[in-house]
Amino acid sequence: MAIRRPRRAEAEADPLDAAQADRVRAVLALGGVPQDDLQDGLQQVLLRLLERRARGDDPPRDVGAWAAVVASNLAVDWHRTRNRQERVSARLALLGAPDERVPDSTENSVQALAVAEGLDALPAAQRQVLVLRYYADLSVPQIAEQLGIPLGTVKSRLYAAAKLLRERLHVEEAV
Amino acid sequence: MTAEHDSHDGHDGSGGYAGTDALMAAITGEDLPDDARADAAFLADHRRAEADVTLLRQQLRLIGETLAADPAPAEVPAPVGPPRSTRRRVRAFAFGALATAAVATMLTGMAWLIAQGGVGASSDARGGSSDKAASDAGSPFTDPGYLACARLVAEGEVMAVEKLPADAGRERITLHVNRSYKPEKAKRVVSFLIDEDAVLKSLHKGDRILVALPQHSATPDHVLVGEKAIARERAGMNRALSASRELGCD
Repeated sequence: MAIRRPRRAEAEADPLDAAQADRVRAVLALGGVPQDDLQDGLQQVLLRLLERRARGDDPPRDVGAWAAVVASNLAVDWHRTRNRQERVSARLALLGAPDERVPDSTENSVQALAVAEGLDALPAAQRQVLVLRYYADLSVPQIAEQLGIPLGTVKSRLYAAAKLLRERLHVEEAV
Repeated sequence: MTAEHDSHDGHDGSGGYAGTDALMAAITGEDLPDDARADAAFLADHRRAEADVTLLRQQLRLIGETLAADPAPAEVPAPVGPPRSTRRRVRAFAFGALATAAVATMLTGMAWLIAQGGVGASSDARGGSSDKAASDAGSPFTDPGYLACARLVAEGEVMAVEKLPADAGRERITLHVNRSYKPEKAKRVVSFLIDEDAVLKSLHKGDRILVALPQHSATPDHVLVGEKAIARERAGMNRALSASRELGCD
């Protein structure tokens, strides 16, 4: 007699895999959520995903992208309601330079600091779309759809944010 | 487009086509109009914009992964560098010499005097003893052991000094690099954080400095201010750099 292995109940499966969870934490951190609140933020994202399942809603087409958007919204709300945003640049400076095995790691760390300071200087709305586009790799139409804002608004915010960060990265253009 | 975006209608002096410019085209990833493809200058701008966007993506990934992975440290981690005894000796030299040369430093703009002979003490001695002499003098810039583990040794002109309000006691220094000793080819402009009390004389725009960053740190642990003081280090530093290439760094 064939033994059938029962299918694992969907509710028991991890809502996010390890890589997706790491990305959520990164989106939160890039959004200025303090280090010691990242795990709390991740739990909130997981909770929202479980609530969605409990309501019987269809699962997101792209769970990773959905989770990144939820995390970015959390980061924006964190800044608005708690008014305690960690400066990414200060945190990065404390951590020092990255892996010595990476070529030109000093140049990388200097560039990373420049980008981090640029992030800290951005308005929350610009920072959110920048992180979703260039960290979470959502397309411009995806960002517009997920955030419920016009395509043109996403483009404008991205343009302003990218322009500022470009200036930070290439100070030598002014020399 | 909203007011946030500098939209351009058609081709204008800023290189825009059909309501977009090179940066916007790179951001959206949309196909370029035919007349834009025929414009070499626009294409060059577009390539630069795409390169910047790629760099931005890389740096965001680096930052995000770094911040998400690292638990909050209890204290600032000590940078890894030369053996501790050497490091303490180097630091002791730097700060001890600074203390004794305080007045001279303030007046002349030099950060330290070489301990053995005061101003002008030789790191230019001929013969094979020069490196030993320089090392004994304690100048980190002429210490092959220190240089072997340095990530950046460069001199240049301070372009900007920014206080970091959220990071009290620290400043961001932007340096226009005129000469890079290590690596041999560094970027033309570098920036780093510095503790305000790390140098006896506060840095200002236009200051000529020689700076050394250790491995695993974006903060220098040695800064020399003033052309005269830097000039006295150069010969010994070049010899020490040659010697440092034979050394490893633990």
